[in-house]
Amino acid sequence: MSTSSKHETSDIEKYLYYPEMAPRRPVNMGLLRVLAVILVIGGVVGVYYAAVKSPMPIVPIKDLENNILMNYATVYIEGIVTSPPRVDISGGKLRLTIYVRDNSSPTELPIYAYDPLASEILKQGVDKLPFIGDRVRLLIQVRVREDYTYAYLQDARGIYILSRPSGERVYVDSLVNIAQYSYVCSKGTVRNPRNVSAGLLFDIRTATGTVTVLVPNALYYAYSNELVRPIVGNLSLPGTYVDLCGVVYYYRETSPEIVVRELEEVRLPVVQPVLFTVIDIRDVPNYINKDVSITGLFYAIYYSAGTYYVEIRSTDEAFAVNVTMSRAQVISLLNPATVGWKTLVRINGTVTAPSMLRYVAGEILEKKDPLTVTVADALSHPVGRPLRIVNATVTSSSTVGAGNWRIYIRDASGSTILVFVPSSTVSELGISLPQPGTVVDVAGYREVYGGEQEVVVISREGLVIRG
Amino acid sequence: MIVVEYFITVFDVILWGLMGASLGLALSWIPGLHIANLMILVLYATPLFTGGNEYAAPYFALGAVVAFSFMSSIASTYLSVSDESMMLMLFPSQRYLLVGRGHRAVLLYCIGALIGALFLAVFMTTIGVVVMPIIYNLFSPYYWFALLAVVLFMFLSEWPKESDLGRSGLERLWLAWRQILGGLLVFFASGVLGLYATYSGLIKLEVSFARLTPLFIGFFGLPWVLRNIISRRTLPAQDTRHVVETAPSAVINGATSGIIGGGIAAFFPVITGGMGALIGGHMASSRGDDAFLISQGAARTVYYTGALFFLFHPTMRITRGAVAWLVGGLYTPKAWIEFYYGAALIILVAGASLLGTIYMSKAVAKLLTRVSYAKISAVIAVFLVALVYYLTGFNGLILLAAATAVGFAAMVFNTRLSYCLGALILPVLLNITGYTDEALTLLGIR
Repeated sequence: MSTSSKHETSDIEKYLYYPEMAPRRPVNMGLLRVLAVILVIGGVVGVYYAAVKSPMPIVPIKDLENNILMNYATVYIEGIVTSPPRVDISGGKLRLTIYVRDNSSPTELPIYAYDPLASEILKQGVDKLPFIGDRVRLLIQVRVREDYTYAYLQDARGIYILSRPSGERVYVDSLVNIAQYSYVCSKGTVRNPRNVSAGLLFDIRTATGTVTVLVPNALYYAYSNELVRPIVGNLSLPGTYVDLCGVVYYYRETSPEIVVRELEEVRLPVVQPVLFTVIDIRDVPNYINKDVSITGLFYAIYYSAGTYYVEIRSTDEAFAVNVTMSRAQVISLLNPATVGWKTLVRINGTVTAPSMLRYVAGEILEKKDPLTVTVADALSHPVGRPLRIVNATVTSSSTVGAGNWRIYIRDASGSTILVFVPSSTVSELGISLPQPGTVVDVAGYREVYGGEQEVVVISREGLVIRG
Repeated sequence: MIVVEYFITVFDVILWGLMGASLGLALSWIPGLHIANLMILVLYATPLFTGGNEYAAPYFALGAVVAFSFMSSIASTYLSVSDESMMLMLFPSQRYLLVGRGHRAVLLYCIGALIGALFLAVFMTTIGVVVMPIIYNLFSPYYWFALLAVVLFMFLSEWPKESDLGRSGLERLWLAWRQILGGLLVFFASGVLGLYATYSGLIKLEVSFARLTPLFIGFFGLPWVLRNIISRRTLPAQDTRHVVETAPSAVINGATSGIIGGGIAAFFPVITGGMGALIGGHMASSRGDDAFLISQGAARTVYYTGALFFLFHPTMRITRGAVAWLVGGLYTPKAWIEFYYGAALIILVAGASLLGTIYMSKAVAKLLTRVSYAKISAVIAVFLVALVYYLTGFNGLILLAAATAVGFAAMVFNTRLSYCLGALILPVLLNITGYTDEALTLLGIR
């Protein structure tokens, strides 16, 4: 077969390679190659015609469960999404998880999408994101294990949202006797906000009752940071008045909650300075226990016992007050990675002491870029100064305590400074600890802790890996 | 632990393992029966032997897989039918067969297989206990880079050949690139068929697990059988003495190469025995047919058995290969005692399989010199087509025909048969790069 028509086999070759065998017929290999190409093309075309006449079937989930011969089957399923979509990091990759149930089985089928598919789905926004209560058709590949069955989404175009809970804006004061997957609205003040693995959970104190609300973490990825941060920041504040709609979900079959499906369905009151008495910042000591509105320069950040103290100075920098804020409030208004030293801000709050306000709301009036300095310069800046260092190289790094990072950086100035990243920021970064040699940009505020000069990073934008 | 010990005793393990080995030895010499297809038959048969005891499945399968690793060399050597992991073995084993030494090729293969089995059992129960979970954690985020690197290596290592034979510049260019272009044709055509088999309703749902069976038989089985029929091949008398010609250095070199290659294939998903052997051969710089055949025995045994044996490792928790996925759907061993039982079983069954394979080789060698090779090949062809039809129906035959054309192309372009693994690799690469969507649209099934 391998004998070419152009090459006659010599006697010695016949002796060595084909003993006891009759001479082989010469074969025209060129002709065979042309024939092979024709056959391959013909075969693929034949399979194409057979495939387009054999569409992927829609299979009941019951037929997939505990059937080892279904391993790796690629099929469509059709059913209801039974819980909010969840996003987490698994094996270093972004993972989107949804659960689907159809009429064939009481069991939910867990369905996963890993990056890059997970990001692609989330990037397409909530219209492509299978959400609780949606009736969906999904292209999945099945995996059957000893005690459970699960599946992987195959591609974004294999997601069909067939129907979605919707309707008039029906307001409820409580979720008692409200059916699962109903589309309802509620309004009231935020109480008891807490971050859970599924997202942001809080209660709304309505006119006559309480409604639990979940903002699923999948929305953090489906919307831009600019849209997510202010809304989540405000919803994290007890006392915020909110008007929102979503789909009713019975957590563990017993605890009803509204799951926000679109951030556009969350309405927050506009900041209304008119409700606060507008005063000059120097008059703050005269308004104890009063709600006031002041303007001034964003000057420094300090931290003590769970509270941030943001120093606001008069425009001539001669008089200062401290505004007490939560971490979420600081990041949503005065993120050191995006808002610079001496930015002009308006702060509305309640005066609690002669030079102290409790923050309620705020806005940027005249934004300054973050103060960019070298490491050597940073060391000379006072404690509390918000600043940024770019193109610095990690010289050593470690994890301390409950997941805090200590990273030493050095730049062209030749000086070294410690960058402290608290675990609350680490958990939002989604990256592993930068190793020596990594080039980073850092933004935060100056601090001295245990006699050591450092920059504290409080937002995920405050630590950027350059290479 | 207590519960497991109650259900599984040494006697049970030996009994179940030898039952699996018996079935494996009885079926694995039949050409075209890939291990995944064989396992479906084995698992169908398991309840008959074990009374439906789910704890028996892993040991039954382990026995069958070790037996397959040895006995499948009969089909590959004497009947020129192989699965993809034998692609590198075809020419050396055929050379041996054509000079009347097919039995020696089997013996060399068995030496490698035995070393591979012993190494696997000893390594996994000693150093592997500590090292393998570390290796797993180290490499698991980078599997797909390894896969991409192997694919690139396969293409890059096939540099232009025969460029000095042409009479004109154009002819020299064609001759230089002919084989590479043929390889690309085979890779992408296989990939397209893999996508159709995976993402359309061509194959019946009840046999989803066998959706690639028509392709594998088409790529690696039928073309060679048809070649035997068309070329009316006859075989010379075979020397069936238990003699091999090799050297200790070749044994060490071949076994090392095979263990490296088989280990890579067992550990990394989608990378198969043939691809692993290619890398292992380069790493160990193997030379000579004897070292090559030994390396193939070691590679296939470490690959098939190792992939399944990972399922037994209580702290690795990885599932590799079709057999492990099937068995894991029934019962996954969880205790260390089960792991050590498994290791002991590998050694036991390897010894039994060695004897079984040697005497089967002798019998087949004698049979083939008395019965027409073309007629046997014709029977095999009918068997393969019938098997595909039985498992997958008429649409499976369409896939089989297309895959046979691709396997035929690989043969006449003299490219690596492993390019046919595009059927597995291309869908996976598209999936991990996020281009499945576009590919399916292009193929008209979206």
